[in-house]
Amino acid sequence: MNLTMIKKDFSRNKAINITLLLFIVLSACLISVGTMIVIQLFGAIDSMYEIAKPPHFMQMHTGEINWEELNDFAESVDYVESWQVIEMVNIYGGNIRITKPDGKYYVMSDSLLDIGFVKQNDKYDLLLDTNNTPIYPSKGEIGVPIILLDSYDIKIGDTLTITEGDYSKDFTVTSYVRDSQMNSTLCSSTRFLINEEEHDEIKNRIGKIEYLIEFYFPDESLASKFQTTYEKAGMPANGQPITYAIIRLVSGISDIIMVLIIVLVSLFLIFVVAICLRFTILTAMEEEIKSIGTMRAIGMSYKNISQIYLIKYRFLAILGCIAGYALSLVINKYFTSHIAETFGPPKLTLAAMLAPIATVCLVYLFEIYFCKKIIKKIKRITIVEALRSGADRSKANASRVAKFINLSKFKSLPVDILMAVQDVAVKARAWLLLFFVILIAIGIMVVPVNLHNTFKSPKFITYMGQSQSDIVVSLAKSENIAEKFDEVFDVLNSDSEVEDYNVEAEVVYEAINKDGDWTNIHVDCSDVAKSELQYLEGKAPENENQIALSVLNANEMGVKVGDTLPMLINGQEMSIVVSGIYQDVTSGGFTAKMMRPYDKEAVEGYSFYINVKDGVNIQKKIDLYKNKMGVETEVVSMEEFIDQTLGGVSRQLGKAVVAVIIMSMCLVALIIILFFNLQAAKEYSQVAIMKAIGFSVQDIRKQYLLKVLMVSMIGIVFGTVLANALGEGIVSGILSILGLGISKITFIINPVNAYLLCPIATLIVAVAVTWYSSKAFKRYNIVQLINE
Amino acid sequence: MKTILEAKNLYKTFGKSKEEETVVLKGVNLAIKEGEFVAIMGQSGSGKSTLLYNISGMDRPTGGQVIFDGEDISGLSDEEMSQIRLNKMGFIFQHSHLLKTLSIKENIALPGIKAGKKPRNMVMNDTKKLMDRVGIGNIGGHDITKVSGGQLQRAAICRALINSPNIIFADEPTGALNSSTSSEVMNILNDINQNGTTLLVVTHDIKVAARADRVIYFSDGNIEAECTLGKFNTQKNNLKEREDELIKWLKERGF
Repeated sequence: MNLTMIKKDFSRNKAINITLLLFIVLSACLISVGTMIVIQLFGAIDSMYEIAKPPHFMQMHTGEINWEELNDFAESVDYVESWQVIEMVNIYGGNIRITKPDGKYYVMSDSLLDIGFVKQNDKYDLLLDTNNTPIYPSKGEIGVPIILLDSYDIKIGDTLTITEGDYSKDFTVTSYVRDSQMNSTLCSSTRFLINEEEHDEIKNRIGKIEYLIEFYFPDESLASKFQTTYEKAGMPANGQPITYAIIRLVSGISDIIMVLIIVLVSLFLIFVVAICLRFTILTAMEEEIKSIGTMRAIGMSYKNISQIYLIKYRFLAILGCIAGYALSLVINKYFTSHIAETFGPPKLTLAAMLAPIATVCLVYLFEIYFCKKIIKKIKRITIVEALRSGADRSKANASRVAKFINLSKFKSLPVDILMAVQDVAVKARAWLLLFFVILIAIGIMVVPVNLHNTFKSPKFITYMGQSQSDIVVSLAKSENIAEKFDEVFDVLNSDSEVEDYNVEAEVVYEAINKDGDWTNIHVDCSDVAKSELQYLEGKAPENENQIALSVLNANEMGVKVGDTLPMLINGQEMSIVVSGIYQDVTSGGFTAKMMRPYDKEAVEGYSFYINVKDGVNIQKKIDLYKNKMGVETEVVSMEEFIDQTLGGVSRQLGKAVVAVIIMSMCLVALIIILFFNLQAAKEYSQVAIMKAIGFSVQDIRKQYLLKVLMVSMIGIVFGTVLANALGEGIVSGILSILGLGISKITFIINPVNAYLLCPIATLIVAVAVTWYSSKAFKRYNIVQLINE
Repeated sequence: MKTILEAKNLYKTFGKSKEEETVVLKGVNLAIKEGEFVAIMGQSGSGKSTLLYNISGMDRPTGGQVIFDGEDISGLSDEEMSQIRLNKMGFIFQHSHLLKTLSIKENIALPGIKAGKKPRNMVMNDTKKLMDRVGIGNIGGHDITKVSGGQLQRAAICRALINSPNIIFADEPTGALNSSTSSEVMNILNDINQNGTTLLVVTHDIKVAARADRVIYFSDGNIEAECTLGKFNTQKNNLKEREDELIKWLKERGF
């Protein structure tokens, strides 16, 4: 009997049921895909790490190493299980040429990542191929990092030539390398894999050696404790230190951000399903109130009646959740392709299959709980009330609305507009559904669009630890860094096209952390007053006894703005006041800024932030500087810097944004169809009457369109305001949970996208679908109404 | 007197295929003069309402022509037909069929405002006059759910009159009313007719039909017979005699 009832209801309200079903399918599918991505991401990372064994702590270092000292140190720390030093031959991108089989070639001079040539290791930190098997290249063969394929066209079979002076060597690209620890463009280096013999050959002839000093412990959580011990022991540390946790997080960041968006969208969709359920159930109950009264009058209990209603929605929810889950199994490949590419094909483990089922079940339970709550309203209707009324309650407030909006009051407004406004005002409760859905659709579109734009914007870097400028020139520590500094200084001072520039010198001091231990702190010393860095709290240091700390450093030191931080500067203990806290994604997030003279001998590196005058071609200027300053100086435009560091995240985010926009549009279209079917069916008599008294079909369609437009526009305004008011908070909250050094994000909004294109696209979809659906009014006929 | 409405060989069929096809109007020919009050009677299912909807342009005939005010309206577009319905025709149904979202007054004024022939305040004045004329002047601001069936039907008559139409079509205008209300409503319609508005009424009620100048008996999709009663004078109050005459006429023909 139940099945017959469901069948009947389905054939009677086909469009409504199908739309509802679609929403349930979509929400279940997305929540399932989100769960799958998380499980597969960490599953894929773990299975890759099992084979590749990335270090628990790694210190990059350029310069001499006292091997004996390092060995003694490693042996003195009882929890070091194993350690190794990798020799990486860093070759300037300009000295690397890729030649295609047809003879065309290009050089990699624009690479921001340091390109290092390495050989395969014995047991730890193995470089893998696309099947997650360690690669052992033969002579003449080379493996190129898979993450570079995004920015460079490198194919198997291409020739890679390295040249310096008279020396030149060719390699054939034979494999793509998965690098467990340098697996993101957020890292500063990337590794090319060559044969051991050739590695030994080139290291004395070309490039510069950088060491990767890697340590392994029984438990990776010992890494941060080890870092302090290592730095205090004065071990080689001329370069970035990195821990296992950071490697893991940085590798997964772009996929994590995508998961966040998917989960966010699916939560919104579940909310849409809830309001749709509310609307359809209430409409059905309103229409069938007399039948409900009759059923109760003949002795059916509340439970019996609610079961009749519930069975349909239970059926819809079960069907939708199963279909959603099945769909997620099919489409998850689209979302996990990046994971598969970066970490290897994710295994469809039992957990990966069961966890999504669990989340989909949660969706089902929520929907049923919600249905039950709405259906409970039947309890409140008495039998007499149900039998007597049965009428549309909304009509009761027509006269109240007429006090404010009526046909004679606004003399110049066309009657169609007045009728549309009046109808929406009288039936405001019904129109709320469309309002909420448009609001949500705008919200789920605008927040990711703004986030994407923020990641892409050059301004973003100013509150992410960097000064905004046109060109960045970096000098790494070397024997002749002082000469290089003077060289750059001269070039910039003699260049009349330079508007201004700011120099930051990186020095290492010591400070007392929250555990009361002395720990190293990397400080950028400069004339900070010039910097455009955005501060989360407080402000830039104003004298030499003040310091500004990155969020992660402030947490590490356990200090707030205004606190005093004991520091060891040039061997002297001083009390430095924390003047401000800012967020930073660069250098692992642990940075600090001071304004004080520094000992040039102790400088680890310099960064020049240069602004050129208006109208100067930045790319030409960069090329010129590169020529003048030589290969050891890195010259990039800020835009390129952002593209190369955050480009991967941004592209992945872009993919998600496209998916979200398409989905929002579908959501708007579907809801308008659903709404039309529910609402217009109720308005059959009204439309037929209007036609009878002289309104044309076109007039009625116009009125309906006006109503949808009006409600959509209100929804868009509220949606945009809410997305701006709450969006930053939601995203900041999620990012601070990730512990990336960002605890507050201020959206950099592209007003054209956020306030013009998104709303216009939504309006176009709304108008098009409404206009199309309203063709149905042609069929509405007073003759039929009277015959019914 | 000039013919205001004419049906020529009018056909209407329903059904999607040849097998399912039902012919409801079978070549109807009918002419109505300006200022005339014509009643159409007939048994249920005889096609009298279908005739009314097809002749008034609310439905499209399958074959034949409808000439209204000298113009063939059977082939007009929806837009053109809407203009004619709005400006030259008035409709009254068995149920008042007023719009739920508007007050009584607004329901009546709506076609007037839509037509835009007069400024809105003049339309509102006309509305007030019409309402006073039919005795509902005090309920203008009410919701349609708050007044009686008789009052609603009077409001529907006012709405039909607001644009001073050439003709009013009424389908069982008293079908949902009690006898005293019914008589009041018909008095109003007679009044309107005496002021020159043509009236075409479909009814099964002898009391209503007896007020018409001419009664057409419709059966099996066509006109079976016609009875001319002449103008009813409300002053004379000879309704009973007219009813008897009509009953006699119907009985003689076995209707």
